[in-house]
Amino acid sequence: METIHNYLESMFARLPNTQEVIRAKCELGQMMEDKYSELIEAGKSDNEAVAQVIAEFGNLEELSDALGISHILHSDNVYADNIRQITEDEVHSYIYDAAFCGLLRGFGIFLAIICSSGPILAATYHASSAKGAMTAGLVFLFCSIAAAVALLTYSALRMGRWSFIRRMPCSIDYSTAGMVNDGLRNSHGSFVLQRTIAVLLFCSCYIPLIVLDYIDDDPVNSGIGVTILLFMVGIAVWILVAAAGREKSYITLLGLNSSQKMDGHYYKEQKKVHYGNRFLDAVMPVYWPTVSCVYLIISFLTFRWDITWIIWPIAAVAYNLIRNL
Amino acid sequence: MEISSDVIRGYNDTIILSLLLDSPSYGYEISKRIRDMTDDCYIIKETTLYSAFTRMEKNGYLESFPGYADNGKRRTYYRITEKGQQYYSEKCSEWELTKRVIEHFIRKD
Repeated sequence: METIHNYLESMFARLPNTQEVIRAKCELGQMMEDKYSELIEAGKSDNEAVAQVIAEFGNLEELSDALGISHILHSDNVYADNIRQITEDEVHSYIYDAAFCGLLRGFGIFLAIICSSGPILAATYHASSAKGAMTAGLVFLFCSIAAAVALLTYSALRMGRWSFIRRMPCSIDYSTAGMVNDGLRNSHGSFVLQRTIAVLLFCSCYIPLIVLDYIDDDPVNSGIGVTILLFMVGIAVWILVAAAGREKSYITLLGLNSSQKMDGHYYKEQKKVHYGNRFLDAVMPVYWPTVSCVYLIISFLTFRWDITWIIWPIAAVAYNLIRNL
Repeated sequence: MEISSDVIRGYNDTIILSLLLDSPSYGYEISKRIRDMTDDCYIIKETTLYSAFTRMEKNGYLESFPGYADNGKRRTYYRITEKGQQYYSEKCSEWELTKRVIEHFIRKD
């Protein structure tokens, strides 16, 4: 029965999502189901019954007048030329790449966030030790930034080979779309869990700092506290970026099939956010990079790494305010 | 020997209407009765049957109504209308004529 159902779905996949088409699919499905059950009752094997039902189905050409779809059936070539069909193998490697690059990108951002912990720790030990600590701290900072840039660049390049998915009209066939849909559904739990862990890390990242300060009001302690804070924020962002990379790949693939067609599984295309203001439309896409630059510039100029992290929560609040205006 | 669908195409409507004259029915039952009555010589394809239903419904020869199968599943039933009965008798006389005409050219020797 599954085979018959899939056969019918794939026959109808390219047709427009109209009342007539839905009704025809439903009716034909009923007839095929009835025939199948009776053949099975008559003692035929599953294979024989399926083969006979499919052989006696007929062809869509006959339905073209009834459904007003002749222009679609006769424009086969145009259709095939303009739309890039993404194979199941490609879908697998796209999802793999997206997940892998999400991990790398997340790790890059993690490094960018924790890089300042080198100078912070060094600065707190400054009083007691010599220049050596500061040098080590700065070396750590620049190595981390270099590694972060390398990771971000590599993951962007690696994902670049999939950019055609966004640039040209593509589609995935019915069974592949079903597989992607299942994948998204099965991963839903882990996405929620990852987000929860990240939010918990965000919420509790101040606790070590407060506790350490409470135990002893020593600058070394607050240095360690800030370092732990940066690591917790870094790990939270890493988890979020990695999960987003994977989730987005599923959504992108499902977004290829539109609600206008009968393919079945599709995801409503995500609307681009508009701020209703040309200045904001231009500025908002580079909001976070700008904040990162401001953070690094101020931090380097003042060398008050223990305070400048406050830029991040302020920036996040401001971001949400602007989006909701 | 199976019948060619090209030849019989013009009479699918007649076949379906004649079965609906007895009682309202649904897709699979009609296709099964056609097959049984013709001793498996004519097996109507699902798509042929469905397009005949929609075409004749549009022309007002038959109307559909929802019904339920024995197992409780929804299913669409069709019944013939008055206009359909009229059309059916026209098609019957047309066939008598066609048969007479073609008969002249079928050599029995």
